Amino acid sequence: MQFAGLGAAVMGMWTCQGVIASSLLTRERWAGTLELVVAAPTSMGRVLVPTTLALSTIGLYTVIATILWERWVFGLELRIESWPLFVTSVLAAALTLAQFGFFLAVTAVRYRSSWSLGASLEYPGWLLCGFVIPVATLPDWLHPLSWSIPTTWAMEAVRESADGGSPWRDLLLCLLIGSAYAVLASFLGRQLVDSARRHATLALT
Amino acid sequence: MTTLRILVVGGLMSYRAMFNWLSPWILVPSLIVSPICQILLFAYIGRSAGVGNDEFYVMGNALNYAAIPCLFAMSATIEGEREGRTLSVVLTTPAARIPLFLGRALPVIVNGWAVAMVGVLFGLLVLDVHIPGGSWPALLLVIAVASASCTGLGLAMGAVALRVREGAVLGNVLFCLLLVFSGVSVAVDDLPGWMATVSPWLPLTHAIEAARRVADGAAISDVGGLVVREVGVGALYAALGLLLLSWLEQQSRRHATLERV
Repeated sequence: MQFAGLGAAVMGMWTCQGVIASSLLTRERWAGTLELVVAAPTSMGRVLVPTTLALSTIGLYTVIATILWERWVFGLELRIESWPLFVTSVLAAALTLAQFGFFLAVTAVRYRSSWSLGASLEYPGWLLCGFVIPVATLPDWLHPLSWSIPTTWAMEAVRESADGGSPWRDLLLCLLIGSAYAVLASFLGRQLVDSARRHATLALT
Repeated sequence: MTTLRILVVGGLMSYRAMFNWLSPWILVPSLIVSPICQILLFAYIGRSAGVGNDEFYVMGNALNYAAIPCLFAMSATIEGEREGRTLSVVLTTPAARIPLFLGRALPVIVNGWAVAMVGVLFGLLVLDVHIPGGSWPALLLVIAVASASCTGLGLAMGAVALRVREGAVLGNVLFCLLLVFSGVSVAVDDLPGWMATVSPWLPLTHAIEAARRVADGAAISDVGGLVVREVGVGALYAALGLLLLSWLEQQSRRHATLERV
């Protein structure tokens, strides 16, 4: 139960980020503000990362809420050996999910129905990140895909912290992969937005 | 003849015009990728926990996902008229309301059936699911009944969506309720008593049980009672939906809120 309880606590963070971040720019487009965002004399990252960080704070709320209802409704009291390391791991999950959300947001800039992409990412994320099933039980060919998502490592760090182990290796990998997505998103953001401006497809409706 | 035309042709036209999920950019992620991933997730949870078998999760989750088009498409074909500012045009026609709205349900039933079949076929090809050849006609019928029953709930939801602004949120909540209460991934017998009491009054519960039995080799006559109960539940929600539509139409005319968005 400890395994499922910890996974359930963190999996809401994935939903909050993945589903909404994919359609961030589409929502700007619907609101007629995408051109203003693109025209602002600043990088896309400075505009989008604060938004995805804000989404992560909703994810943090889901962690707290889930831990509480697991305790009050199901009588499941999670054993956390090191609260400081546990909180650090959860915060790392929030930060790297914001970076991953930035990546999702910019890559979907020309996908006019990106909300459907975001909605369809919910179950794959739950499956691949090891929230409620161990990654090792998945087919071997799926393992690299799991490892390429920072949340997989954040989840490992959360479990290690709760079990009294050392989460530092998992946290390092989580932060490295998250940062790689942020760098990639900064690069792709420029390319994709420039392309959309060149082809006059920024205001797709 | 006019009634039949409104039912079939009008229903199909409304469905195609209002349900924008038919674009491959939405259809593939929403109605193919998502059901497959939901099946995989619960099948692997079952394997990890040593509970149930692949067939249990494939049948439950494949039929559960039929609810997505049934709820959202049905709602879209009604709510979309309001957003498109065409609801007043539709309601001022002399067309009878029952074929007008039930006609929109027919393509939705086919859509729900097809989505459930994607899940069943995926389970058959990729997971450990084996369905006897002789069980297929009964299984196809049970899935069609499940889809029709869910569409009844979708009709009721579509009626409510005339008044509630966030129809999509309502649809997601109903989908989650069906996921938990209808015996999709946890058998109804294993649910807490109060939840098991609610289950028989929801679409899918009887159809999922029937589909599991048929997949295990039961004949259609063995699950006849379950199928009839599923039809009854669907008819109940459809009747509720038509009543709600009629009442909300009257209220909207009286308070001049027909196309308030």
